Amino acid sequence: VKILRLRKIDITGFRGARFPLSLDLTKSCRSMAIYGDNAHGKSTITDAVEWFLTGRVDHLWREDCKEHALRNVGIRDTDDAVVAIEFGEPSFSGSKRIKGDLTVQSSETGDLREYLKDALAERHILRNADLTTFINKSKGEKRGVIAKIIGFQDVVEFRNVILSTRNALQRDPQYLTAKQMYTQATARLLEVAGGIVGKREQLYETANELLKPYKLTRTISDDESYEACVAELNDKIMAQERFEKKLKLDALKTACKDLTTAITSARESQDRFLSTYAKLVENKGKIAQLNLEDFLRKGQDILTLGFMEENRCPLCGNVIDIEQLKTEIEERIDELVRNREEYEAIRTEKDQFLVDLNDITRKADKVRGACAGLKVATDFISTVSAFEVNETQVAASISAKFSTYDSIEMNQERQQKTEALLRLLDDVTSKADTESRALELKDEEARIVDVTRKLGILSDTFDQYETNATIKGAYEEQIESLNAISNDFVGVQNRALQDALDMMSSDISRFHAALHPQEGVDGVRLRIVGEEGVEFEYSFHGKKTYPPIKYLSESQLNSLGIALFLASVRLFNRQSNFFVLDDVVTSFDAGHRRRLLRLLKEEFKEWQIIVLTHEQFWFDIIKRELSPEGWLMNEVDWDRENGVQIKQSVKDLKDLIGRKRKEGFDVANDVRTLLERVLKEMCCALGVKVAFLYNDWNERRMPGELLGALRSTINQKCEPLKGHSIFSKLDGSNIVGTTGSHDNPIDIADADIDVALQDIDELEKLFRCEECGGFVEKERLVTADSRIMCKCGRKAVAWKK
Amino acid sequence: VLVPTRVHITEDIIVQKHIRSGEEVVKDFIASLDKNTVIDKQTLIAIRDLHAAGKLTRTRLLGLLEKIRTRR
Repeated sequence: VKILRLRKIDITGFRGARFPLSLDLTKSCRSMAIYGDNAHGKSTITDAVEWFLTGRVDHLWREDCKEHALRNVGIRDTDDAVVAIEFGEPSFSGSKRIKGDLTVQSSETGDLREYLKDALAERHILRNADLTTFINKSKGEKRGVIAKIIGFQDVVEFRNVILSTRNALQRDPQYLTAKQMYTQATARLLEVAGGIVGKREQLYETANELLKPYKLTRTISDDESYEACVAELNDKIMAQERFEKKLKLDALKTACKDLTTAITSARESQDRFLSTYAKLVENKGKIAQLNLEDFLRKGQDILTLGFMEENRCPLCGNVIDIEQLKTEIEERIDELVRNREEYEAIRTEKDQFLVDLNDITRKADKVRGACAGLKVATDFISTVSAFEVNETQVAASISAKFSTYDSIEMNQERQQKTEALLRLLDDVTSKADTESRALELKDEEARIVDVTRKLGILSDTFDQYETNATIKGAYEEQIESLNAISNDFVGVQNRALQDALDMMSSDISRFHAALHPQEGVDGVRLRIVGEEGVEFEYSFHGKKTYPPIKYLSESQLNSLGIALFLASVRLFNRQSNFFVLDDVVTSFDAGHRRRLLRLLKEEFKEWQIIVLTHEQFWFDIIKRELSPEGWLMNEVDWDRENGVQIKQSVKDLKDLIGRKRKEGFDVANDVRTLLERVLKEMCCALGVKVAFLYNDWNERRMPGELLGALRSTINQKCEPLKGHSIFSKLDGSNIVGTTGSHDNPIDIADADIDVALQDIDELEKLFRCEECGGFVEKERLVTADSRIMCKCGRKAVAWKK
Repeated sequence: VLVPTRVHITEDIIVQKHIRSGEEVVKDFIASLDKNTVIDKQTLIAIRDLHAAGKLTRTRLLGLLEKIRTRR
């Protein structure tokens, strides 16, 4: 397990950052609070982190947006938008860039590639807009989101494989045939033996009972003795030839009757199948639409998980009523489910028809076999053979046509041939019966013939029973196993989900209670509601209830959103040890904001947190409370020319001016900003007095005002620099900066910029120490010498008390 | 107060705070089926082998189940 923190974030040409914006979180990967006014591009940082980690920025991922929205509008087509992140673990660091043609290039190493895959299941960013998104979802949607978060797709897929395999086994023609033949054999055995014959021992017992009156030399105990006993019994008949012929005629009679029964059954199943199938073919479109069920269910998931912008169709991007769309999809799915059930019933009819056709071919085969050794008309055998071949072809044709939903019609010729065969079978049966009766046997011999016939039927039918029982049993063992697995799994699935919910709930409850103590809301937990839902349950003034929106205030709902996010961060971040809170406290009242800080301090002291805010007051509180905890503080600025920038030091500004001049950009405004920054720092260090202004207005003083006040102070306090020419020079440079920074037709020459920069340098040199880089300070007054010093003491300027 | 680059988390904390993924739920469930006497052992082995190989699909499972029936 590697716990990753952010070391440095470099953003260029991305969203609001036209020029390089660098967030240095130091080698210790510290937490940071960032302040910036509304619309000053703070979220560029959040967007950059989100895009780097997930390859998308959720709130921008819609038609005509995506990567296009990520490139800064001011950068040239040849420039790349770049986000580079250094992690505490160097091997995970890398960069991603968006080229002018919107292709994305990535410098992912093996470690980073693996991490980014896992990062998709982690939680990194909470934005104000997303605070209550989850809370406002329906029960089913909440379950969908949680299942997705905890990677329950595997669970759904596993159950689908088990159930669909079970269904396929249940419909397997081999299984259906075995079941039918098993049932037939069981009924036949019951009829012939007069009782249940389920085991081979019972078969032998029944046969021995039939043989008992004939006092044979041995009894039946296995297949060999079965045959031997039948032979010994037959030897008791004097007229062997007649006897054998009678047996054959009886067997033919039985085979013909069986084939007649099979044909009749097949006709019935054919009628049932064809009448319903014809309706299905008429509405072919209905069957084709069955495939839409999966598609619609996926669409339902997408709507549930909120993968698209609110009130936009996920397919076409048009504005629609999402609730209406959800209802329509649900109705459509219901209709498709009804169609599917209808289709499955027809498919079962088809399977039964095919089983009956297979039965006909087997029975026809037996009829042909029974004709051996008997004088039967050859056209009867050829008719049976032709019928058998034809029925096999019919079965194949039905399977093929059903797969493409083509209409199936049974032609007249087949009908006529079937009728003709049935008549032939009746005729042959009748003749065989007559002939058999004509073969006179003594009463005793007739009884022996009857017993022999029964023994033959018993043996054959038991073989059929045993074979099909084995096939059926093998299928059913597997079907029952899959059923048991599926049933057990439902319980396991729900328990696992509730375990996950419980684990999240204990944190959510604790965090929410920390944010809203003694407000009558306790025991917040997520629990399974109904079969397919998840909901927040909580105790409101001692009474258990849900959903949250019923009684909770906006502030409490927001806190619930934060509590859920923080609980998720704890549970799902396997590698990342950081998260970003982007303006999440906007709708909190002051009391709850401080509680959130305490919660972060106490519960997340081992996490790296980046907090962004547009509220100065809140930022001041963060500074006071979290600076002693090692947090870094930063501010972002924005202007039309430079985009979003971390509030720069004088050195940063000089670097930016140098870089922009090299690339041919206008820097007059940057020079004005630089002069303003230098003057502010100096005025602060020298205790220059200016007129009182409230809050932000104090920050917005113009260089001219500061320069005047500084000159006045110097003239009073610093005799050697009284009336120094630098002040009049800076008056001129200020005009250059101010003129160039406004939309002004006058072009500022490069040489003017050079002079302005030289003037600023000259002013700085008078008061700034080259060693420590700081200004001399009024607070470091050496009274004896009437001088003020810098913090290292190497720079000194004469100063009256 | 500087915080370390990597936080050392003990195994206990990881286990205690670990939500079982769907994959783990399925894996543990399959392992627990040994105790279920209703389930045919060969069927279970087929499911377990396919799942372990990451190849548990309806078609593959039906293929293995057919082989089992044929052997019988």
